[in-house]
Amino acid sequence: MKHFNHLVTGLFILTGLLMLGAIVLALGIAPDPVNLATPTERFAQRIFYFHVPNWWVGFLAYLVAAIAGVLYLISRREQWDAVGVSSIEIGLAFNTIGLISGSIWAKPTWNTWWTWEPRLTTAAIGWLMYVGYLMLRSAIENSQRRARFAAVFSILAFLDVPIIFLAIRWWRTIHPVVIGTEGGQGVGGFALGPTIQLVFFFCLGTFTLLYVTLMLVRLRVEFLSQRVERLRQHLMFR
Amino acid sequence: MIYLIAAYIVVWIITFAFVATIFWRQHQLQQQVAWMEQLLETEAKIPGLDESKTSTPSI
Repeated sequence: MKHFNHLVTGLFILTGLLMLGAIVLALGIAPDPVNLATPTERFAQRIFYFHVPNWWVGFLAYLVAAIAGVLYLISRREQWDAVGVSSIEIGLAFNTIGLISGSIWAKPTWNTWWTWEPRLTTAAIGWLMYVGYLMLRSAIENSQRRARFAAVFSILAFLDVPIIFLAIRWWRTIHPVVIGTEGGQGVGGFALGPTIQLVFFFCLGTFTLLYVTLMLVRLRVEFLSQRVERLRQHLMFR
Repeated sequence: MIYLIAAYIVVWIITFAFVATIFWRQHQLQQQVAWMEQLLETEAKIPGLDESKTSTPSI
């Protein structure tokens, strides 16, 4: 337990320092994309360095939860259920940030806070599904039944993740396609130059480390919660 | 500029709030575990203590 606390503290310090570095790089070092005309658009573009990593962490968290769901259904070990719920909760927090920061970026770029285009619509559906996951969990009393339903739900909900990612490639949309395109398609799109790429991947790495750190802390809470449940059962039926 | 500041504020407020919530829940659960374990330990120390002696007598 002592080693675990040291590890978490160390990870928090490291993540905090890297986050400070990410802020400096995103706001100070990264150059303005050449195709963005107005200063408002250029300033707003710097949201990109935190907006995309937030979505990346969300997708990663949902993938981990789906894998944990499969492993739970195979093994019926409650540790996998703990991994699943912890990961989805973190993913949902990051996706909430992604949705809000995206909406703030949309206002100066698209002149609207929200539009029902394919990427935003599939993202909103995904967000609602994972809120539904947490509601489903809170509605089921029996822990084994809850874990089984949650595992199936997390696997099915993950089907939306590739659709969210590919929506801007499959359908005509206002949302920019920045990654994997030369000039950045869509309204407010831009090319990923070498420095922009470097800053972007630094931010991506930092947010991934933040996910790992939060996952460890959140898992500890989930294991504590399971211990409380076991003690309660023991006290009730002793 | 205002949109950039607003977005960064949102990012950090939600992140800090989420982390604070996790630590608050951890603190609450640790207190519950300590209380329950103490309860079990106390019962184990007192020989012959069972449900009939601890429950309120019926009138």
